[in-house]
Amino acid sequence: MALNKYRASRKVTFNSWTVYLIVIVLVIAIPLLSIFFGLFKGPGQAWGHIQKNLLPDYVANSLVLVLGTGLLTTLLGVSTAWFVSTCDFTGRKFFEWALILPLAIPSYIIAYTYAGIFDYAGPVQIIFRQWFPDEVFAFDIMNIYGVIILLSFVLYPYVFATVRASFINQSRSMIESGRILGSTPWQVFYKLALPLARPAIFAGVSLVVMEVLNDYGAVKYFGVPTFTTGIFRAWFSLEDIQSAIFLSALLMGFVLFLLGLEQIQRGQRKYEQISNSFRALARFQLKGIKRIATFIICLIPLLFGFIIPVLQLGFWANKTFEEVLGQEFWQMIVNSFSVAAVAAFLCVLVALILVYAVKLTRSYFSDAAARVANMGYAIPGAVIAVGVMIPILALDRYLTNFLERVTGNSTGLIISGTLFILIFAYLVRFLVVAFNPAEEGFKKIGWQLTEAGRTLGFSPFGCLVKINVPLMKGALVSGALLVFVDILKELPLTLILRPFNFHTLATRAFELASDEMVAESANAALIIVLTGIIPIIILSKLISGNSFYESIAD
Amino acid sequence: MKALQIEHLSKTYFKRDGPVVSDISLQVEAGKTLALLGESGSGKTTLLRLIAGLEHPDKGAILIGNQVVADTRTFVKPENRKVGLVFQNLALFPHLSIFDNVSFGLRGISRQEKAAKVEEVLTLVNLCGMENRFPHQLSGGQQQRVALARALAPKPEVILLDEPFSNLDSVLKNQVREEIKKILKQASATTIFVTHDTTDALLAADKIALMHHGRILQTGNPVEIYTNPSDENVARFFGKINTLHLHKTESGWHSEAGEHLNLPDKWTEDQLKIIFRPENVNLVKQSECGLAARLVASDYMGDHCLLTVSAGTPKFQPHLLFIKAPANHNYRAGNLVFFQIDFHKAKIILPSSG
Repeated sequence: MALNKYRASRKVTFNSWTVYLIVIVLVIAIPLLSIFFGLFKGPGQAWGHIQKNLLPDYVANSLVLVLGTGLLTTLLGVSTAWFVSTCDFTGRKFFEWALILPLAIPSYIIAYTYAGIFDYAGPVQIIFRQWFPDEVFAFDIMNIYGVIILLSFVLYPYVFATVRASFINQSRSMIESGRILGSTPWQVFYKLALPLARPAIFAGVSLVVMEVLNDYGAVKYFGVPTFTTGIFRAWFSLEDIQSAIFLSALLMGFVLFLLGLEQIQRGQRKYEQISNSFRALARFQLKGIKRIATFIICLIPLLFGFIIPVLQLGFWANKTFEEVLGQEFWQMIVNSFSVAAVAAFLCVLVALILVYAVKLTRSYFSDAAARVANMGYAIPGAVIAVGVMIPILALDRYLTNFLERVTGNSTGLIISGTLFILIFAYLVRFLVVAFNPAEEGFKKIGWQLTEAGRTLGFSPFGCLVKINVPLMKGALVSGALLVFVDILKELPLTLILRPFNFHTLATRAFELASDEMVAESANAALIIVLTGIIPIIILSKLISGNSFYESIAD
Repeated sequence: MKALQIEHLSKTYFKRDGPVVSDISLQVEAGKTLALLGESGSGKTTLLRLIAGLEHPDKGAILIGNQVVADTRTFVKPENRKVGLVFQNLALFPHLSIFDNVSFGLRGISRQEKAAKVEEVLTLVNLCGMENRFPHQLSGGQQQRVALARALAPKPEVILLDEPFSNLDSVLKNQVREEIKKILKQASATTIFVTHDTTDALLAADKIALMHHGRILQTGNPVEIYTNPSDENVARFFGKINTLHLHKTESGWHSEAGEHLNLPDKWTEDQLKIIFRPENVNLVKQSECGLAARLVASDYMGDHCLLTVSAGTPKFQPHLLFIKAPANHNYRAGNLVFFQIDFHKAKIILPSSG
């Protein structure tokens, strides 16, 4: 409708919601700002050593990882998305949602699971020794190529999901006219569908890249030095905060560069058509060998990305659960779930206020503010952790000095190492995960209901509580769920910022695996994976166009 | 008493697009209905939103019942303005029952009072017994009345309706227009409604303000604005018009349509431009001294025919005129027809410049 023209205006109207907006954005931007201002203190004493001996490796490895996983996930994601969206073959409906399942497995878990599978005591080598008793097993996956392959098997669903959504939305008549004009299915694919899906591919791959750059567990476990491991090393081993800041800033620059590339791609999105009809595309009917080949192509990523690792984890868990499941384990579950729940609630609350404030103030300024507040997801967890720790440590030092002067006793650090810090860092990183469904929910409701509420005597806050929140319950709940599971899986941020002796499922699983107790770690890993399946079902429903929000709201 | 006064109101969204509402002044008497008539993009909806407090004016003042609600220093928020607004798409709350929708704006009163008030308005809009239904269970016309009831319930000083009849099909539209007109009269509510449909404005309003490019071209009651338009644009908005340039010569009045015209004596200027409507032209027999013209086209409209004729003297280019004629199937293109113009109903636009 013509209402769009009322939306954005250059003018900033100052009211309490503008203040909320500014406060939220400033608070969320603390980690970024602290890294930025930290740069002015200059590099630390270890920087020379890092720069000379380590940095070239970090850069090279990170680049190879990004390129490798980018290519492999594109291959896996685009091919499966195309077959599932446009062809008819055995198991298509199953693959539609099952192909997203690997997303439930965090990268560090897939890494040590496969390390275990290929280990001397693992099934692969056992079978090898039975079949070839005289030969030496010479297949090593503990290197950068192994990381690329394994990460690709759990991250391709990002590409699969975005590209599939694009294939579904592509104008059906466009595809059909291509076929009537005599194109083969292959020609339709690379001449029409693929160019149209290019922005979606870039969007999907950029999510993959964010995850790759965020990864700490997998590369650490496989011994591949990257920026994230470098930040950990600078912070904990070299105890050189300034160098950690410099590495973080470099990594940030890299991420921002990639984000810029993606934005440029998005700028060309103008020609992407959205089909009006939701009638299903007439699918290519596959027969004989093609039908079987397609089935196998779709099965491979699912098999290696989900079925095998889950079976292996189940096998280990079955072997070890009696000794692992104890008081300590339950405490860990309570820790993980309660921290994730609190942070998820906080994320949804802040996202709600943020979206609403943007709508209320509706200026270019508020749009920009929202973008800044949502940048956290692009920033690797280790960087956020560094960015949160610096100001908190400074504040703590100031506080202890102050208290020591007042009371005469040394109190020790007060804020750092508390759950408050951890939850704040989660908020920074995962806000956008709650923001997107909330924004989508507002879009569906429309702004007029709020305006109607205003003319009937309700304040903006009253309208939010009485009109918008009840109508977008579904969106808020699904946003909270997505954040909850993301936090459950999160590793690097939690490792750095958790209080002393505070264990979550993720940290414990990683620690056990690092201590050569892979089988024992499977119990925690399995819980993470199984919880992670919940939002995947939500996600697949969202893509296939079923209105999930409505179904959950009723 | 004036229920609403607007003084020199202006609003610009984007500098490059120019003002959307430009120096508008307007008054509405209590209990009367004003139609803001104009094409889409004429600024009428923005004016409505400015009155409701959903937009901030750049300049000018708005007074509701003698209280300033917006000027350079004051801005009363929409929730404190005592204005009822019915949105074009109604904006009923889908998660609330009809009772809760209508009682939404009623606050600070007891349950019984609330129930009594809701019953009162629902009776007014003829929707008693629908309290427990939900918006999606009602027909389009019923939803419209719920939206009106919701806006009326808090007894606002002014009630605003944005394109109230645009979403209805033509049969329902006539019915709903009559109903809403009756309801608003019964509630003796001061009303402003926005429309692009001249019929809606003429039938439902006490006063019409015609808007064009953010300005008001003319304000007046329906008869005034139709019969005495201030200029050609206003006249054109209400239907087809004919124009003639007249000038006095020694042998009498001349025009593009013919010579020796019989004009009212009071017209003293030598040069005139006049406009008149197709219904001010009558077909006559040749013997009645009419002007001659060739029939170009005839459009059958059911109860009448709209004829397009080419009149003219050898001195001038052929000049097209529209004539509203009795319904008849015997009009043939190329035929010679004779007509007279009722100059007493014609309107002088300006002394013609030639």
